[in-house]
Amino acid sequence: MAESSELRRQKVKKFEDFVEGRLKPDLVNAIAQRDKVFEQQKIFSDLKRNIQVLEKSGATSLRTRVNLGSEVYMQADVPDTRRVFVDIGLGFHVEFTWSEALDFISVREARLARQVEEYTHLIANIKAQIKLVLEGIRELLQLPPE
Amino acid sequence: MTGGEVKGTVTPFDSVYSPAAVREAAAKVHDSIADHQKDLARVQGFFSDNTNLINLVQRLPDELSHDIMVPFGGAAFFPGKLIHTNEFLVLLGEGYYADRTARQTVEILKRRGKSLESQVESLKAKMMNLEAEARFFDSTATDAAEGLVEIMEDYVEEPNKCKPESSMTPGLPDSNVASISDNARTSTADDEYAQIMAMLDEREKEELDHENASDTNKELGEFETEAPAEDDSSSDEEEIVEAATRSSTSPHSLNNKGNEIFQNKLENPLQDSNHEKSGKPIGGNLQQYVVEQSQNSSGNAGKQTSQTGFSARRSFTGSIIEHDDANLPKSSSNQSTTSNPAKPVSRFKMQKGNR
Repeated sequence: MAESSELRRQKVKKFEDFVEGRLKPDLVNAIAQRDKVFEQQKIFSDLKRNIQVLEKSGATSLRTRVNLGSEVYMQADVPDTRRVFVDIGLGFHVEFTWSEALDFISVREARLARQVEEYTHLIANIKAQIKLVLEGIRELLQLPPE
Repeated sequence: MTGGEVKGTVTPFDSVYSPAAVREAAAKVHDSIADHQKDLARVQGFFSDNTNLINLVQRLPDELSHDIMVPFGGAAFFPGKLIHTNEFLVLLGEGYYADRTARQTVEILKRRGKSLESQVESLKAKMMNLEAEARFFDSTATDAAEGLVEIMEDYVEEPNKCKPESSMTPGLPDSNVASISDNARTSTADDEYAQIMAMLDEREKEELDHENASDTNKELGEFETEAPAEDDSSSDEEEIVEAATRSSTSPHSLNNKGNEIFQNKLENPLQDSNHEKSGKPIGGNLQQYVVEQSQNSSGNAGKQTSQTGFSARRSFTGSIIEHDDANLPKSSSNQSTTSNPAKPVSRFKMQKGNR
């Protein structure tokens, strides 16, 4: 009897270690990556909004303040705002007109949304696994008293 | 006479500082060192950024305008120009900005750099302290693992007739009065004591020669230089204790009296003139003690000197860290009282009479 309880304790410990060592870090990683995709989504939606504002206002030049680093700003002048260089990934920037940029942004947004969904699935999966293992542990622990 | 009975305790370092706990503490200290290291790296990164910015700000006013790619959000750029190249908007903190020229901006940035530097210095100082702590923990862990033993023995008053018996009552410091009656633990050290008794005899002879030939200071110096060799001294200590116990004998009744007297002495440290001596630094005590010994050219003197030497050695080894300073002088004073049969015994008897 004592042996079986010892075995049980070992199993419980193994399951717990698995949850703590593998599943929970996996969960944390997946959530971090999904958050990164959320950030990208926000960036592109902001960009879209700004380009739409520009289009509506019809302004061709722009005066902005550029951050040189450590919050030291300097005035910058953009003479021609019709050419936008958009980051399409892998370190490339493509010269777009406004409408092209807006098209690209909508395509990009769709792709990002799909990525978010994938990560959401993965996270749900890991959470389910964690729940399963915890249930198993609970079962093991409940059997001895019975 | 109870031969072979041990009074005193042999405490392995393991019990006082359990190696596992010490290692845990060392690990914690290492972790905090790593954290501070990260902070240090971060602050140093800020500092290097600051210096780069200073260089940039100094170079910008050289041109009227610079062609740049102006960022638009996080993922788009506009080709454009930097204008008004001598005007900088600097964040002062808490949402306050200041329009400054290049030179003024450089001054601001230099002041920022100074504060960063002071942060770096304080972090480095903290790290050094932590590293010293870690080294102490590591050395304690290795000591405990090696089985370094802390020997605490009762002080027992020794009578004139010190017959060479194997009684375990040397005139050695007892920093733990509570352990006086703990014979059980000391009985385990009997074998060890028996082994080192012979060694102590040899040392006594050596020390007698030293004492006759050389200066007492030199003797102390010798003992002090021997002190750092902890590993050797730990085994030597046991041997010397063994020999000391064999050489310095006293009847069991006197042991108890000695303990009581010792307790009295603990309570009234300044009553006896010997205790006054104990007020002096240890070196002074031992000097005086050895001088007294040289005056009394008895066999006890040599043995007591060896004991003094032993205590001197012992006091300068790791155990000095453990013991209260007050105890050691008392112990040496106790030794002096017990070692001089002629004069101090009378004073001692006076004390006994006081009880």
